[in-house]
Amino acid sequence: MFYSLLVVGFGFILRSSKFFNVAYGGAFLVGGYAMFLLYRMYLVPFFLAIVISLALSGLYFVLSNKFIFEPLFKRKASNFILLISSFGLLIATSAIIGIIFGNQATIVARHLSDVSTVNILGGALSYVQLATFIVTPVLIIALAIIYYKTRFGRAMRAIENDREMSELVGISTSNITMWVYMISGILAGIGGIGEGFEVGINPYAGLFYILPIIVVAVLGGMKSFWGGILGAFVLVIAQKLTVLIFGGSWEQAVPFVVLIIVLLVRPEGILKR
Amino acid sequence: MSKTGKIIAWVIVAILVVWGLASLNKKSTENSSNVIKVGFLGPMTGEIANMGENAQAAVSIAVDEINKSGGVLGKKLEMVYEDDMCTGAGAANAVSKLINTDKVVAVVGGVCSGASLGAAPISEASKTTQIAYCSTSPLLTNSGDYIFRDVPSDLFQGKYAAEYLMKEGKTKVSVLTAKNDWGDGLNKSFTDAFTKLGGKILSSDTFDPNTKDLKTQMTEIKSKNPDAVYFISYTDQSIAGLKQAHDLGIKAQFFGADAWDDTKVWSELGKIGDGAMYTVVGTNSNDQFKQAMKEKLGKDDLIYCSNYAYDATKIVAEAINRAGSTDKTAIKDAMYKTDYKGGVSAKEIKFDENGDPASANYVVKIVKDGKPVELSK
Amino acid sequence: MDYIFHIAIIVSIYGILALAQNLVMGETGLLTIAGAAFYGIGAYVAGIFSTSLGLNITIALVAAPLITAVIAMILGTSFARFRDDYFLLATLGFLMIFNTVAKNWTSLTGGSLGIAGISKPHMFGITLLTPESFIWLAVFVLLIVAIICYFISRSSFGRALNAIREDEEALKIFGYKVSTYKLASFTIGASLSSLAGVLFASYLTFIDPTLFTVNESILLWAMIILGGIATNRGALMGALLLILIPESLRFIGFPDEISGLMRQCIYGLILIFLMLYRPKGIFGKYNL
Repeated sequence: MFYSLLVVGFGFILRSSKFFNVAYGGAFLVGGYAMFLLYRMYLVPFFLAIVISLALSGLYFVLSNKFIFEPLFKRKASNFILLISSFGLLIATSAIIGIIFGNQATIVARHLSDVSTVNILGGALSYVQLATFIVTPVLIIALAIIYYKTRFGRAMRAIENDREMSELVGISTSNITMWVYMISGILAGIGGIGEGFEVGINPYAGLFYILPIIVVAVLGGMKSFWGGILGAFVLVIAQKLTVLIFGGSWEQAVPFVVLIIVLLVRPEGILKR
Repeated sequence: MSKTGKIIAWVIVAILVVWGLASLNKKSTENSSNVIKVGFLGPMTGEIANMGENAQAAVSIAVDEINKSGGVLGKKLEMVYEDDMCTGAGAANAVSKLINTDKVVAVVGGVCSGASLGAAPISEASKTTQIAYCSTSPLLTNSGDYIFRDVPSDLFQGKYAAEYLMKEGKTKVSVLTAKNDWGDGLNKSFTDAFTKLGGKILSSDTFDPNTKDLKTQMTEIKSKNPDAVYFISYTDQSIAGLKQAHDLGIKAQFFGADAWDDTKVWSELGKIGDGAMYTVVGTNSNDQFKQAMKEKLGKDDLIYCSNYAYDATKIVAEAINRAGSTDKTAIKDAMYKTDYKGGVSAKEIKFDENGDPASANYVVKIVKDGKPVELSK
Repeated sequence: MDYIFHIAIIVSIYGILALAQNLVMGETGLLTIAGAAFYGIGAYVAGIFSTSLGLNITIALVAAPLITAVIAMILGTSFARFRDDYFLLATLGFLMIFNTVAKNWTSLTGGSLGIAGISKPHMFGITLLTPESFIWLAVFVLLIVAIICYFISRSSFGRALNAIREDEEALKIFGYKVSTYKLASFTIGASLSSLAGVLFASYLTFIDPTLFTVNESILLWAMIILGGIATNRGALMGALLLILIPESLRFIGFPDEISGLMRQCIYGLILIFLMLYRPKGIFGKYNL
């Protein structure tokens, strides 16, 4: 479920800066670990902790843009350089988090058995899952409104289409880009917090999640807002079916098999713009 | 080619060479003085780095104790810790460094079977005794004359679990294993033994050791309605998987392997984990050692591997003492004559001709109120 | 001394890999991340030849490049229509699938347990048991690969590859069969990588699927980027540095608990700063 949120956030970055920014996984980690630090270690109230953690993950991403990606952009560096540098950032972030918090999986909830479940329609859902089910659609709709209806959204789309052109017509590209990074960072942070509550995150989760996200973004068509969400659902269903039919150890390969098939058959992704 | 490029390159190379020679020199002069060096291998980075760090703490406790009671051969024992990254290649680099530049006389190490197997040929070629403390792969048995381990091969544990479940009348079992060397080995030995005893494997599934979402597998298991689930997993997936099984309302008996002997699993799960059972080699882990670990780590976290790491260190120290010198062949011969008593992993450790533990006394533990307790036989 | 030989062997193996990667990615401009997969295929061919079939490892040195070439040929043909990022994704897909197959095809690859007890090379009546003797074989293979790469980059074939990297469309207009050139480069690169795999398998005598992951491919990338893309010298220098740096960091002596992580952290930071301040790499002549 929250794959689709993560994909939406990643899609924003992908479309506005046109490269696979894997440091997105870093923002995911920052969100989850900030929540762990505040909520579990310092016993900060729940909502306050969430707000601060999300602010931090957003900030992390904004700063990374400011100090690494923007200078590279100004130099008109190739995608390849950007990809490598974002990868370097992800490695460094994972390692630093590992140094601070240790390498083992860290569970954000104060006690797992406190995370109780509710029974809805015969299926048991934990509160986290329930919250995901409510929050995800709300957020996605809200983002869709921002993206399609507001001035800001129009500016975003203009940059996605043609950065130089939008600069010429008077859109402050660096300002808008900053906000895009903020929003994506926050979305990644939500993913990290959700993961931390549900099953716990470890410093390697960033890399582990970013690969399927990239696949999903391509799968759904890199240019489309809704395509990414659709891609997320297709992928998750394909994964679960594989687990049922072939066994769990093949699960990791599924995204990539699907990817190759899609690339061969329909390289523009499921949804064209 | 640009001039700056050339300069940068040669400067870096020069620094590395000077540095390398300097450190080589330093090591060799230190060596002749009054310390005896032993190497340690464990994963310090990667998914199961927590095991390596935990084992490192246990080893350092053992070293402190050895040195407090006179050291080895009247000299101080010094442990050199290296990261094997849990891979064969990483372990090969690490062990080569330990043996050739640190001049260790023996190596304690490898949590991961892959790492131990990668290091083994190098130890064997240089006639250095290597004692793996948590590698349970059956492949390690025949990996060399100088290669030991103080943890029994998976072959025994799977068989023991199968026999126990049969005895308890759990004849229909689902198996769910981590897809790596450890999981595969256990799965095979369990399945072979269990079907031979007349039990029925309802379903057998695996999962990637990186994943934590086991809902699909658990749902599948629920639909099969087994008497018991043999769930072979490490700390992180155990927490996630048992919680998801609980959410799904699976009532079957959960039965795990030695990796569950980690207090973190049960303290995280709280009352969800109650009733789960697992096999582990009859440990002798005493409160004194647990307390020492708690002080060392600042938290209550003792992973089962650390028991073996602690004992492996003591066994090596004893063997060096009995060998009477740091001659590598003498140490190896002394290792085969080991008769180690009062350890924290087992009451008694002896080696067979392959360097495997001669006996394996498994026990079954059950979790009550978030704490595993040994079932009386 | 053995440690230095050991490191030299590892450097040679990665040198071969980096040269092969440079041929495909640097000279031809094909963004591929499948390097580790071909390396792995070579290693598995060696493993299977040596244990299941009981053949001498030297046969694998001949067979592995051939087998890999066939696989690469099929792969390259079906991926021929992809450009840049898409090619990258497709090769990433192949690498992940290779890894999963290696883990699950237990009867052939030993599954996640891997293959142990691979024999050491035996040639001219001597078995290359120790690092001192193995180094000769490793360096010999490295030399051959380096000579091949050197001649390719000097030949008209190599110049055509460079032209593809710079402007594929223009070359098409001149009537070059661009896809054939790309396929050839990809296949040669894959075969050369598999040689490194055979060396590695017989040196370590043990392989398992965790050795051939995406991290390995990324390391190869970093090597040719650090050294400077599209130079053979740069690829070798990159391999040398990226093996030596982490190994020498073992000697710095960070507090023990975090030494491994510290190494990774530095590694990440090096990548960032390199990209920011010297994207050409050390020997760079071609700007990314």
